[in-house]
Amino acid sequence: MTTGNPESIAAAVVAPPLVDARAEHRASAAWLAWVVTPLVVLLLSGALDAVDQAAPEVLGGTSARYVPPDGHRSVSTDAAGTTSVAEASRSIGIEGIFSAPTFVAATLFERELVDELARAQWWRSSYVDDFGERGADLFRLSDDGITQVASWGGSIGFLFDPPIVLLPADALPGDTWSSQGEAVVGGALTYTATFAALRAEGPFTDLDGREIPLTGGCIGTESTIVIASATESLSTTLARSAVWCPGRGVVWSSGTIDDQPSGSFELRPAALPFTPTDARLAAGWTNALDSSSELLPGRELPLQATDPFFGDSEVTGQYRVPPSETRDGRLVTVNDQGDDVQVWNLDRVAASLSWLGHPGGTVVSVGAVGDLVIATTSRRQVVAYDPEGRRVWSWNADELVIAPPVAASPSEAFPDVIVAARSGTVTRLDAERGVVLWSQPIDADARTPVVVGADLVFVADERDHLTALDVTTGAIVWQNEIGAVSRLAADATTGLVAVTLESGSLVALDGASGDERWRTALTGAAVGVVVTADRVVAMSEEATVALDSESGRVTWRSGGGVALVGGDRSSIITLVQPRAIELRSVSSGDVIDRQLIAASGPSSSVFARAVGDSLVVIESNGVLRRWELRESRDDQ
Amino acid sequence: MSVVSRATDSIGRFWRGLIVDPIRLGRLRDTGWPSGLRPVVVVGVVAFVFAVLLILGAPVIRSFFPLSVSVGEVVLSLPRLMLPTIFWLVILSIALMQTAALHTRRRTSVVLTFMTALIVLFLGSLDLGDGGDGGIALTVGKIVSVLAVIALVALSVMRRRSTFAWWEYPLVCAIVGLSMVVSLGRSASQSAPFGIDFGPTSASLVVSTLGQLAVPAALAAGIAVAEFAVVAATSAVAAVQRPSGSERAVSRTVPLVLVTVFVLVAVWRIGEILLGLLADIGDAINPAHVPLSIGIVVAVGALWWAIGRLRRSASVSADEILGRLDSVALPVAAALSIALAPLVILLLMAQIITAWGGEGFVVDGMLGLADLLRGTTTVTIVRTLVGLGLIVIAVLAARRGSRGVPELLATMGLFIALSAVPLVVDEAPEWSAPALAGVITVGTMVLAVVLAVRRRLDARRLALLIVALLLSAAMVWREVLADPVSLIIGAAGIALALFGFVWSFLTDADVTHGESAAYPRASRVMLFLANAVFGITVLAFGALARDLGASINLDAFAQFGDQLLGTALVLAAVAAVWSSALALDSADSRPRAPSVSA
Repeated sequence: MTTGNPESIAAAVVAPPLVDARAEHRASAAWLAWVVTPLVVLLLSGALDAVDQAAPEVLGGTSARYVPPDGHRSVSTDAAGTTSVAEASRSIGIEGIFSAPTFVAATLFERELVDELARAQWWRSSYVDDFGERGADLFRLSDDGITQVASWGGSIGFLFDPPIVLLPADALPGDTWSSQGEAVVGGALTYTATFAALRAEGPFTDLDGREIPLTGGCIGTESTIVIASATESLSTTLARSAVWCPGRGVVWSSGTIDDQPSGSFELRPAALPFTPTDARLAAGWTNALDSSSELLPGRELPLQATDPFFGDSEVTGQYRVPPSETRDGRLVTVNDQGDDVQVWNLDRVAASLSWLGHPGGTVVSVGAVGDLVIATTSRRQVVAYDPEGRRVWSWNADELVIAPPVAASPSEAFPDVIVAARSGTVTRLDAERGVVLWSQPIDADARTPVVVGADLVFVADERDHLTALDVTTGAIVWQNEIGAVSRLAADATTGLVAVTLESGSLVALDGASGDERWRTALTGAAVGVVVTADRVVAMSEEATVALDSESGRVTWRSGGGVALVGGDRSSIITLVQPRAIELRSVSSGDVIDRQLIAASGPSSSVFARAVGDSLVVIESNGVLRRWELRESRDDQ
Repeated sequence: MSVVSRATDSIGRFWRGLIVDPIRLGRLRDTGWPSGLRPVVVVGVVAFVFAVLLILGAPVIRSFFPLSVSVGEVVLSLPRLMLPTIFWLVILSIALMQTAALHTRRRTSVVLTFMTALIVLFLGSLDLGDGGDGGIALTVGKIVSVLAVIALVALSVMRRRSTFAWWEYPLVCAIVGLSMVVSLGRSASQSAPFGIDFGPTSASLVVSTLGQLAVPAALAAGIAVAEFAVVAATSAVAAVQRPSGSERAVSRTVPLVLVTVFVLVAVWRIGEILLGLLADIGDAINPAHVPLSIGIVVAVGALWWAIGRLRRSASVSADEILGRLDSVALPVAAALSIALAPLVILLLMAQIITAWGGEGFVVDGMLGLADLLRGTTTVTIVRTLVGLGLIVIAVLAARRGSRGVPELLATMGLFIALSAVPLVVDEAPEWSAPALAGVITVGTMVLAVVLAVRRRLDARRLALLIVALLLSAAMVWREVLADPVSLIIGAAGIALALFGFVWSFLTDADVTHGESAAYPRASRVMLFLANAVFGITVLAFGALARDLGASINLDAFAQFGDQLLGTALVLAAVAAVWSSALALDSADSRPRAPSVSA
């Protein structure tokens, strides 16, 4: 409205264009908002993707492509017909030399700056042959190409300085190169190596005349390596022709060692059926216990690896994967870095490394089935090793297998393997070749552990079911919606199943029907449950309780602990508490013997295993303690 | 009207009552949003949907991509390529929260900005420096995070008195994102040459530290499952009871339908109880749980009677209970999680101080205090205080004449206080959902007999009793709702939480429809989205890891919310139905399908 005031008139005249300008401004703002907001969000997404970097560039130039990938397994025969299984390990940084003998690792530390070693890229090839002879070669990928740094396991170990250049970066047919230096520390042995690269034009055959396929563009080398003592009183000449193929390493070699023929030929397919042998069976801990059993004081065992040339090496590490034990009384662990399976011989003095395997990727769980040591990996693989540490087969699961594999029939000498993938697929694998005998989905994510008893496989899942499968056919026998299972045990004979639930219950079920027999409360987080002939014993962090198998009546109670070892119808159960080991009568709960555990450093988890006729407690901080029974009183 | 068309009509009404109307009423919708908010909402909704797809597709994603695995007390396995996506979703939700904080009332703004600043500094501390020197090094990541915090605080001060502007969200997103990109990028570039992949560790650290903030949303998601079950029960009966057509037709046909349905439902419920007791089939009632279950029902009845006396109006319908749930669920969930916010602050501060070189008693003290906040004693105190506090608030609200809210608060308070008992006396109180369901079934049948004898069992009351019987089924079987999802995902816990998160997202946005000076509409919308996106992101991380225990066990909180608060909601609905059936007044408190007024 105008009043005749000039200012008002002016305002009235000007006002409409102002309104239009605001509307225009709003319209442009809306347009900008629709462009800028999603753009910023998308740019952010792109930036996060761009800066995400999981692995560095592989060193070694184009020659690096000849190096087998981590976890690669190859089988070869030599001129004498001896079969050898090799595993490749690829790593970056200091951890790459941790598996080498201490002398080798320490020397490498002296030679190079820690920062350089921390960025170094390594390839370790470890092998074991038919006779149990084992060794390893350590190679490095660098700007120089592929170089050999060290070799150990034989009667003579080598530590090359500078490393022998096996393939220079970007090697091409026609290239020649040479290197020379120390073969052992101090120059007692020196080496001189000359190489020439050539086109690999086959055919190259193995001992039986079968042609070895040259896939992906292979390259050949001819080399002469002379290793001599300083006084040249001792000299060995290795003349060799070799063929490298991408992702497979050396697939064929032939030559002489001091004029004696030598060579190795890759076997394809690399089938190596597991042939069971009559392995020595160790006496079982639970079977050895009786009401008069007494424990010797526990000993902390040093972990060591022995090399014929470089001597003893102390092994340290943190053990995060629950260990297992073999039938012949050896302990199975996973190393600090989580990529090697270690098998230990235990005695009263020390734990000595028997062998180590490198299945590839991160080892998620380990178990022993009959004579096989089985590892499951982050690559969703199930990998089997024979008692000598030779990888005999591997099988690809559809998901991660977190639960340790178990024997299909614990009483059999050579049982098949039962695995449950996280996807809920339960599979029975033939022990000899790792082929699938049956596979059964349970339509839910499987929890750990998997247990076999009375010809049934018991698997709990994330949909709160407990499922029983026929161990022979894989058919689902029953399914009970029982709740979220945290611990699970079953009697091998009667099939009585006992489970602890995350809700804080302890439940017993009839194995044949799945019917609930009884249920009771268990206070605290469950750490273990064991089924014996007439009792169910469960332990939580706060309490241990033994109940009558039939009625669920509580027969005795005790304090909580960290692990429970028993079963196998034994009348004695072992309670592992934070600071003590107790042997108790299953029926009465009477303490038969008690030994204190010495304090050690902080540890996030404690595992207890009956290994052979001894009890082993291994803490995640690497402390391993072993208890064994005192000989009978008559012998004292 | 033919039987077929009547059935079709009933199904249509049931569908509308159960799905369509709750979503129409409660969804996020433009109720006068300021200019520029729509793109932000689109970003938030797309992020939420994307996270849901990640959860549903987690098994397939895991099977296609290499897994990064770290073994510890739990096995953390993640599809490595998905980690940047998780970080991206986290940044989007933090930026939503901080943008909302620019215009809320001062104390809320200060608290939220403080939390954002801690998160940004924490993310900056992931840059440990070239030599991995940690606290000793002043790294680019740390410096950028400090600059980002200064920028955010300055923006907060400058924009306090202004209204929402479209550029605020992109700007905040860019500031927070830049800080994270720099620190993650530097962390990755420094560690990768050493063969170390910090991505999974960083993601796990971020999600497990911040994930506690998603607990209220998870608890509320648990309640949403029960809410859905209650709506299903009321809608089912409403659909049967109110066929379209003339009133004359209604009066002639409904009773027969209702009687038939009542008989069928009663046979189902009683049959289930008997089968459980006699043949141990299904969810059998443990007789030991019956006395306390009766006691709980009686206690709820007494509380309702007291509230009615205080308010001088006894009857509250199930619709009123459901109508008030949205305003009660999240605050109650937040109250139960009250110790978690200071816990997160302490954990963040401890990590920031350590990353900047601080050590010793300050950090130890913070971590000690954090342990205390996580401990059983704190949980017991919180539950007891919240439980009793809710009952007190219920009494005060009843005195002011409030309807629905007092009943809900009192029933939830009772259950929360009960949940503290086992922590105090180391003995679980012996009640269970099957026993409560049995008590409700028997109580409903007794009520039916009493009403029939008194000749008061009319169509309205019969319908109410059917609802009560269906609610008794919901008491035991509501988790079945998540079963189809759990079949896809393979885990019931994740499915239950996902169901609750999605249903809450679709139906619980009522709070965004209003406006106040303290919480303008734009801030409400963004806070709602921030809460939803962050909660579902934490759940997606667990689903991709195929193990919620890998970060924070959100499914356990969702199940806790369902079992405790959801059970309280179902029982409150039963009490509402019973009291309506007993009421002498002629008010029609039949279950009614919700309607949209706007």
